Parts: sequence; C-alpha cells; structure tokens
Amino acid sequence: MSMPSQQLGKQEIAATQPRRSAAAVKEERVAFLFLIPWFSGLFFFLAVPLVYSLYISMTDRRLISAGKAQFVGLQNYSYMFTSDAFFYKSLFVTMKWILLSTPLFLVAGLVISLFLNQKYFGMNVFRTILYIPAVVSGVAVAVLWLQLLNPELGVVNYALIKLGVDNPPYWLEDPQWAMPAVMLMGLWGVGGMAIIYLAGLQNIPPHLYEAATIDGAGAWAKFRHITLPMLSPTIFFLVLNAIIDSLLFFGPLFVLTGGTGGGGPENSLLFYMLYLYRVAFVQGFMGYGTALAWILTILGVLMVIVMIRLERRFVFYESEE
Amino acid sequence: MEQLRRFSRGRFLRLSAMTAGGLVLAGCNLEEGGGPPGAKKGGGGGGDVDFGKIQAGQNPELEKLAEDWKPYDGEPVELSVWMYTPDERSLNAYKIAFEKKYSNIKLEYVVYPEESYITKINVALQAHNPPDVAIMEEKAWMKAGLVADLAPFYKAWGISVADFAPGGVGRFTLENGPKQGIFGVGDFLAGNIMVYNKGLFDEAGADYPPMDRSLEWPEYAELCRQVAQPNEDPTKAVYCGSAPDWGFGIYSKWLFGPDGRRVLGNLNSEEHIEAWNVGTALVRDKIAPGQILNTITEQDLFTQKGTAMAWTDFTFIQDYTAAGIDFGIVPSPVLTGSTSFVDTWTTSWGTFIESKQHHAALTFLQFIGTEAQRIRPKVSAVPPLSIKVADQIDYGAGDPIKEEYLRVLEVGAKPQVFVPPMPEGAWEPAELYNKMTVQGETEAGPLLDAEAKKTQPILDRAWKDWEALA
Repeated sequence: MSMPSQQLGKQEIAATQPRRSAAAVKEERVAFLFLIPWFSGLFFFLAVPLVYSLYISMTDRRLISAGKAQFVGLQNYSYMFTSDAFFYKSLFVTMKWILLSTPLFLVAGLVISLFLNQKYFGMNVFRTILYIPAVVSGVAVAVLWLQLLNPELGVVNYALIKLGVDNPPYWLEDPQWAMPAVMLMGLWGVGGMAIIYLAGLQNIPPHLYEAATIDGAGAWAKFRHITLPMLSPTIFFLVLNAIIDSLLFFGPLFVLTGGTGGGGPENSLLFYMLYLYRVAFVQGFMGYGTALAWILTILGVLMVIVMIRLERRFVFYESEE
Repeated sequence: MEQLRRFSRGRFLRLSAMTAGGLVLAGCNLEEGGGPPGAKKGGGGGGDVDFGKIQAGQNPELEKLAEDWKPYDGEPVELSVWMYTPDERSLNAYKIAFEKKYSNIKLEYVVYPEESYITKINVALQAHNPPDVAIMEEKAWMKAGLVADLAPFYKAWGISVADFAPGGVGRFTLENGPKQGIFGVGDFLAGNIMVYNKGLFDEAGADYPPMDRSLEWPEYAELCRQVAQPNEDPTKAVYCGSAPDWGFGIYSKWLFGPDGRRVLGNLNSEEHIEAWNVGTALVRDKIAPGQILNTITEQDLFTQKGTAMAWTDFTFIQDYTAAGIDFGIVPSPVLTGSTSFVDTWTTSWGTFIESKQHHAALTFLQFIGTEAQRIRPKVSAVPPLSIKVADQIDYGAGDPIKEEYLRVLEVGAKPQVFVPPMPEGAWEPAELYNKMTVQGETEAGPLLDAEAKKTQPILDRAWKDWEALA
C-alpha cells in the first residue's frame, strides 16, 4: 500500500524514483538537442510576439502618427470596459451568433448526416456534392451569396416572390435580417460538419442497433439511446470548433459588409474580429486593437475551459463503460 | 491527488479572476472614457520612427535633391508604384513613355482593391517599408510628416501649383492650402457630373436638365418622377437617376460649414433635410435605383438604358458613346439655395519620406507633373490636371462632349472644404440611408438633428486630433 504523495517529503520522493542509467541520460540530452529548433521557434515566433503584443496592448501605439508610442498601462482595457459601446456591441453580436448558429448548424449537420448514412444508389455522389461548399473559399462563398441575397435582383427574393411573399426581406441591408442572412449562407456550408458526423455515425457498432431491435426499440429510441450518446464525442468536437470558429469569424463577413471593416446596417454584423480589424487597421489604433485581441484570447480560453468541464457531464466515451 | 489538483485549479481560477478584476478596476481609475489612448493626443504612436528627423521638407537628402535637381541617371532601379483602380490605358502609356526616356528606371505597378488600399499603405508604413511612389489617399500621412513635400521640386521642375485645377490640388494639400506643403502631383482632372439620356427624356416629354446650373434637389426629384418608368421587375424598370447617400452632402461645406468645423445648423439644415426627404422618397418609390446598385453599377445601368440619368465620372463617357447613347452632361444636384457644384479631384501621386529610392521616385513624379499631362488626354477622355497644358493642347476643341464637360466644370467646379477624418460614432450617411430606404423611416429631420448633436463633439475632437498629428 503506497503512501499518499502529499505526505511524502522531497527526499523520500526522490528515493522512490528509479535511478537512470548513463545511456538514458545521454539519450535524454540528445532528445533535448533535437527539440532545440522547436523550442527556439516556440520562443521566438510565439512567446516573444505574445509578450510583445501584451506590451503593445498597454501602449497608445497607432499606425500613423508623430512621436513614439507611450506606455499607458491599463488605459486601453479601462476604455474598453468603461467607455466603448462598440466593444459591447461586437461582443453581443458574436455571442448572439454563437448561441443561434451553433445549435442550428449542429442540428442541420446531424440531419444531413443521418440521411447520408443511408445506403441508396448514388449516395457517394450526393455526399461529394454536399461537401463541395465546405472546400470553397469563404470569400468566394460570400461574393456568391451577396448576389443571391440582393433584395432586388437576387435569386432568393425572386423565388420568395414567386412563392407569394409580397415583401421579401432586404437581407444584408436590413438590421433585423442581416444575421439570418449570414446564417443562411452558413447553412449552405454545413456539409463539412455532416461529413464529420458521418464518420462518427459509421463508427457506431451495428450490434448495438441489432440488440436494441431485438429488445423492441423503435427508431426514436435507438436514436435517443444509441446514436446520440455514441455521437457525443463528435458533437463535442464540433461544438468546440464551432465556438472557436465563431470567435474568429472574419473573412466572409468582411466581404459581406463591404470590405471596409464596416459592421453592416446599424452594426448588426459587427462581429468581434471585424471590430478588432476596424480599430487596428482602419482607424489605426494598434495599441487598443491589440488589447481587444487579448480580451478575445482570454474569452476563447475561458469558453474552452467551460466546454471541457461540461465534457465530463455530457460526453460519453465507449471505452468508459 | 485529484483533490489537491482540484483545489489548486480552483484557487488558481479564483486568483486569476481577482487579478483580472483588480487590473480592470485599476485601469478604470486611470482614465474615464474619452477614446482609446492616443486618440486624444492624435499622436503618440507610429512605432520606432523618429519623426523629429523626418518632418516633411526637412529631410536632408530631399533638400539636397531639390537644390541640385536633375533626373535620376544612376544604376538601373525598379520603382514600386502602389495604386488602386487605375486607368490602365493611361498608366500603361506612362510606363512605356517613361521607361523609354529613363531606361535605367523600371516601373512596377502594384494594384490593390480600393477598400483596402489605405490599410495596405498603413501596414507598409508601420513596417518602415513604404512603396517608392503611391497614391496619397490619406491626408493624415501628409499631416503626420510621412510624405515628402514636393514644393521645392515644383520649382525645380518648372511647374507651379497655380497651373493646376484647384479641385485636384485640394487632394494633395492640407487644410491651409499649398503654403502648408504640396504632397503630390496629379495627372488628370476628374469631375463627378451627371449624364442624361436624351432619348429617354424625349420619350417622357420632359425638358432636358440645364447645363448652366445645378438643379436643386426638389427640382431633380420632380424631373425624375417625370422621366422614370417604374416597374416591379427591376430588370424592366427605367429609373430616373440615383439618389446615393453621399449625394446629399457631396459638398462638404453643406454639412460642416465653410471652415469644416460646424455640424450643428449645417448637417441638420432645412435644405439638407429636404434633400434627404425628397431623395430617399425616390428610392422608396422605386423611381431611383436602390439595392440593385449593389449588383450593377450606375454607369452600367446607364449604358444599358436602365436609367435616364447617372452620376458619373468623365472616364465612362467613352462607354456611353460606344453604346450609341445620345447624352448630355450637367452638374450634379445641390441643396436648395446653394450655388452650382461639381466635385472634382485627381489622383495624387507622391513619395514617402521613408521610401527607399527617392531620386528615381521624384523623377517619375516630375514626369507625372509634366509629360504625363500631355499623354493623359491622348489616351483617355479626361483633361489633364494642368489648366496650362489643357490650354496649350486646346483640350476639347472640336469635340462637343468634351466642350460640354468643360462648360459644366466651369459652372460648378469648386475645391472641397477640408474636414479631418472622424473617429467611430460620427455621422455616417449610409446608416441614415438604410433607415430611410430599407427600414421605413420617411422623415429625415429628427434623425439629422440627433446626428448633428452627436457628431459636433466628435468633430471638435477630430480637429484636436488632427492638429496633434503634426
């Protein structure tokens, strides 16, 4: 019976560890030698810029101006939390997007994957077609949807009028409809998510369904008690990715909002990254922009921590049973 | 062990939260609002550039070059020339003529989208690696001393700022005019005019708009309603002419006063409110094109006879002629009671203080200010920026369209009133336009009153920031 580690003294802990041979020590040194390039890269290209960006976030650095940047301490952060309405607006828009789009895309992807999991003739072709939007550049997709959603000449409103809708939405021009328009565009690219779901679905052992069938389970019961639990790691992975992608959502939005860092009508599409770009590169407040980037990083880390906490409660791994 | 780990993590998180909270509170005590640090002072940034040594006109290398000016005759070099939406024919003609004359200088044109052009230059400036020659689109670059002052070179090149059209000169000078420095040289004079399709006006039995004065917005709206042929199907509609958000305030004097400092009483003047009301009503009633312009340009719509009038720049004239349209040229509409106005401009080419190849760059700028003035009217429709050269070559003689264009410029061309760039939250016409053409608002008065009250303190601050840039 071993003693709890917290009750051991340092010397006792050392005594319990096996002695390493000279060859092992040499091998370890060689290993570290090989790791030097990687550590150097980590240090010079990640750690140093990271620390430097933290410093910049505490200066009043601008893209163009006279004189040197001044150290301003926490003024950028102070301004952000106390005086910048656009900061809160962009945070609100991003959170709204996460809360609305993530469940929508997850459910849509799941429904499509359940369909793709059927064995019909030509299904492989259909899977390929569904996946194509996922490999098209986001900017190209945005340009395409700008045309489709044009209120007067777009195909979407043309179809709606033909279906009897008298006043179809102005989509990206209307603050109420701008975000649903972007969601519509996102739905078009949900095939990528469906393919990941499909991989998860095909990993579910068939004997589980066979046993459930013998026990008299119906389709809903099988879905509820076998498919969903067995897919939970995949769902977790997709949710995590969706959240991170939402926080970093930029390229297509930049195009949809005119390519100038604008936030759409009444800033209804002022996502956090768009605002960050506007502050740093359009208005030229590099110090403040970097502070915004740091807050985004902290926010992302906190959200991932929360998700990982929730993983224990909601995600089922087959090996655990 | 698990217990210990949980405890440590919990304590770590609590400590982190307390630290973050403390930092935020500490920050809050430092400053209450007032814009991001640096915004108030206007300056304070700019990385490691020692601007004290490179103030415009005070660069020793440039001063010496100006004193003993002669075109570059050194080792072969390649000049990077950054621009957006160029007139390809003119730029190619310049390249051929310039490289033939100066075989030791090659021009490398780099074209960026207009929307991201300023950002590209800003980033290049931040990296201390700006292009040799560029379109000086942002006056803050000039004010901050980042752009070479060409005033001493103008003299050496035998040209004078008085030779050039004032609307163009305004693009490369600051708020107090050329005495503050000349930060560029332009090659052509463009004007924001209106064209009208005579055939569509005849069809509607409407009088042609006058060439000798600008229509006032209510007159323009009335004429529009006579000429337009609205249709639920936008592909079958014939619009009258657009009412763009920038059109109501195309002359900055109307919005900011003659000195560019007063929004109250200008932005929310009765005349400006009236222009917004009658103009946006045209869009709501589908007399003027609305969102269709996100897909097709107004100039293309005019070429396809989809609109009876269009705001245009003179470079598109060749397209209208090629499309067989019988058209006339008039000044753009103005606020009630205002004098006629035509917005004019040029592309202002300049070089940065930190550019690497000043001598060769200045040789190209000299070419733009002299020889290019004669090349431009040969390869494109627009006149040169130099009035002197335009007179010498008798620009427009015998060409009724060009003569008409010159008459319209004579009627309305005036330089803009300078207004410094305003930070976030200031007057944004696109927002009001959206409210009045998409969201159903029909009365601009209260909205413009609110905008004026909101914008005045921002404009005051923008002026302080601007002064601090120098």
